[in-house]
Amino acid sequence: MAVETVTLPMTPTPSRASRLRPAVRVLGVPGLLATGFLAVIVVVAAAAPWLAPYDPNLPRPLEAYAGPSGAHPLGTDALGRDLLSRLMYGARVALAASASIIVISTVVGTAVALVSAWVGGFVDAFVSRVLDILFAVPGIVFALAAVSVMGPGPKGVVAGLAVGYTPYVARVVRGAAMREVRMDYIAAAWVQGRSGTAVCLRHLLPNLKSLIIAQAVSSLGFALIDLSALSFLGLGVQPPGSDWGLTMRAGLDSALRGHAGEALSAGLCIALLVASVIVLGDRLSQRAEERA
Amino acid sequence: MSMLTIEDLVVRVRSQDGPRTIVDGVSLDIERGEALGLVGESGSGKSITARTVLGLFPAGSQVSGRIEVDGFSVLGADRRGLTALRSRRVAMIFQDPRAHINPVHRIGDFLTEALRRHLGMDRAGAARRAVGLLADVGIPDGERRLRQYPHELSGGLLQRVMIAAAIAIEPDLILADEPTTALDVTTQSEVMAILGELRTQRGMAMLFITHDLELAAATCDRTAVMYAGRIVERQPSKSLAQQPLHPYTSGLLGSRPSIETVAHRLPVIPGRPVAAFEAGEGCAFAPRCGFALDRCHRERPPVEHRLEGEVACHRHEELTGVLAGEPIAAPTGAPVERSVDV
Amino acid sequence: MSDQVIKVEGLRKVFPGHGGAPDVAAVDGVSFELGAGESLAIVGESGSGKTTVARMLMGLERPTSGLVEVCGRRRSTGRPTTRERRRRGREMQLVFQDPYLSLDRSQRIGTIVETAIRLQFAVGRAELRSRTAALLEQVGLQPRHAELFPRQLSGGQRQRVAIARALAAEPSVLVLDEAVAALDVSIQAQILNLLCDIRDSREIAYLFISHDLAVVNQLCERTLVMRRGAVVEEAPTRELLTAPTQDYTRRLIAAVPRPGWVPIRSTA
Repeated sequence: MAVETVTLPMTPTPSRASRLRPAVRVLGVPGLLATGFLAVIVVVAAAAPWLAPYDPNLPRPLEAYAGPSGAHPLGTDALGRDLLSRLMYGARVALAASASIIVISTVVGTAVALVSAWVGGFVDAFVSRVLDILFAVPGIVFALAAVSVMGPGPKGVVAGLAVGYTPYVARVVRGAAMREVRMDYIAAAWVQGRSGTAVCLRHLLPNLKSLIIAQAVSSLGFALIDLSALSFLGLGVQPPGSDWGLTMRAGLDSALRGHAGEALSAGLCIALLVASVIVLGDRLSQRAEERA
Repeated sequence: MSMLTIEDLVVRVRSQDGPRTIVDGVSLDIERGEALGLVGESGSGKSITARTVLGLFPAGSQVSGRIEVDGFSVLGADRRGLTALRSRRVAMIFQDPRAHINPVHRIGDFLTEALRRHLGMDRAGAARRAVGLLADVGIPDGERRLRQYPHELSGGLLQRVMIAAAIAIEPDLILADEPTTALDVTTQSEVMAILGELRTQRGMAMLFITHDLELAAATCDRTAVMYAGRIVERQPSKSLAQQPLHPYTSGLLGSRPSIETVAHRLPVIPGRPVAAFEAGEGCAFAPRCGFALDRCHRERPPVEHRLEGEVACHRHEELTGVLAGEPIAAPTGAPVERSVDV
Repeated sequence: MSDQVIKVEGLRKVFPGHGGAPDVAAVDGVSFELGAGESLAIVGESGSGKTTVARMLMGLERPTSGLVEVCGRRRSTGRPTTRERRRRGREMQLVFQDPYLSLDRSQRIGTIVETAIRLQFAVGRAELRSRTAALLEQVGLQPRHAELFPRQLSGGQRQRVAIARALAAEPSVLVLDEAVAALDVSIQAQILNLLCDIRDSREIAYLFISHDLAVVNQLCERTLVMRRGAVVEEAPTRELLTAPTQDYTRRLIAAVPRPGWVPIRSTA
């Protein structure tokens, strides 16, 4: 047998770029940038006590309205508090509160949706009706109601928004779960005698996982906006605590006195975080759709 | 001159792992008024071959070779040329008529659109013509049907509407892509009968794509069998069924159960059908073939003329007669399928 | 008779018509019996009600009226408990038409088969492993397939997994709803042979729902022809194919393509 020489195409040596390729395929370049930005914010928030140059709540009246300088990279506010430190601590509140809202509403909404889709019949009809009613009420209204009962502060706002977000999650997940339940593999599980719990946890949940995560990430963006709005209105974190919404509120007064930095920097923080979360959420939903 | 000539057609489509060959050197021709059956399993490339004739292929595909419809070169044609081809010369019938008829338009709109646009008929004339066309495909109450919506018609009726639309432009060539696969057997019989009648009355040529070798053999003048993007055998239908030249054809004939006889176990072709890009350098069918020799795995067999047809098999001469109606020797052990990684 | 595994009497299913349309009787007074180890085919075209019969037998659809008895026990039409469903699973299992929809895409093949075994039998880890391997082998798959996900398998292989999953419960009856209709010709023959081998190796009855007379002829001793919800004719398959007594059966047979076949228009 004659042996032929076969020229193999050159295999490029793995570079950093090619190691990043799987991530680019999953998230796309915008998604990757958004994830990077999110990671930075999370690290800064987690390490704020060590990273922040000053105590965010300590007033230094002599340094009020200081412009950006080596000592205060973003300047100070009306009470002379370091703006950078306040924004860093504010990130803690923004992330913790929005994450709590999303975790609570996702867990409750998913549970309601799966049970409703699996049991079907009048249970599903009842659940859908209740969801429709709740859906008509904006989340902010729930937050206002919660604050009026529990008093102003992050706890009431989180509880109210979590209730407000649950119907969104439940509706989206229920729709997808209904499609899933009609598939033959669920009928096969039913025929075999799998319990309802097993069907929900072992079949429905794994197959809806990517959709639920995508939905949660997208909602995170809206939760951040609602949270900031409520703080801006003075219903969330109370002074002297640090919170972006609160900083914006204070920054509005400062801006009227000609010091726009405070409002601008807080606003920019909110906008960038919301934008990156939404970009990421969109990308994840797209992936979930492609895979379904 | 032939109605349709395809020469050395190669189609590569884009995929995540680079271009993939789906059709790999297909050549065929159809005479005026002739029906050619193109038979193959999934992945054989039969549908893509038919679509390529109309210049319909997925974006980013690489297509090479030559396709001529009555002397008109399809692959080199511009947009206007293709539109003229599709609207006057060549009509296509698809497997699932529901996916190709707009559900919000009435049957009448669907049927008269082509008549008005391509043949320049007025509304009343087109409607009269449409009723006549429906009668031709065995739908007597055409006027009522024209006012109905697609969802009000059964699959069989809708497929007849598709055929009516196809013949409306009085094409010279019909490309029928599994037109009866989604239909019941009795409806299939009627649709095939209608297609046959219309073809002979109007002298239309047809390329009939199907997975059903018996159906093609019974309804087409000649039948070609595709495997892994290549035509492995082509013969007049009658001799193909009685005396297949390629082991794959013979395997297909043998593995299909019959209503006339019962075998305790069917003779099977082991493994699963592969697409062109999955095939090795030798004969694509060799891994599944009971007659394969060393050479079959190494060298791709050329297409050779044989009797009244063509065959691509290294051993076709020794196997002539051996294969006649006879199934491939049953393989020993459990059939092994290779898995595909997406 | 005691060795009857399925007895159906006067089975009826009426679907409410929507948009003011009259109600539709998808299944209208169907009766038949299936003996242990026997193979019965229900043949019909679309809209004949054959699949609805299968779904009612499995409890996936609630009969409007009629009696269903499986393994000597009458099946109530109420919503069964999980326990009851599990018990029924040992009597009768189902193989679906489309192997792309009937397997959970997020589960490995091994998990799918193991779960089906664990639902019916209290077995230890080692026993579970060996039983799974044995089932996969019986349907012509290899041990390595247990590690794969459904998307990594071909259609034929998936249908083998679906059959293994159904056999895991060691049922007395296997209902096959167009189980080979979606497969390529060469794969169809492999699966038909597999079904034939399974019947040779264990005591199991088949209820084979199909539109394909040739496939039915290959696998079933007896055939029941349905049309528009009702039984047209029931006879041993050979007899039905060679000497049909009903016009509709004759038309069905005449429509099957074969050498020398000429398609005919039944209505001019």
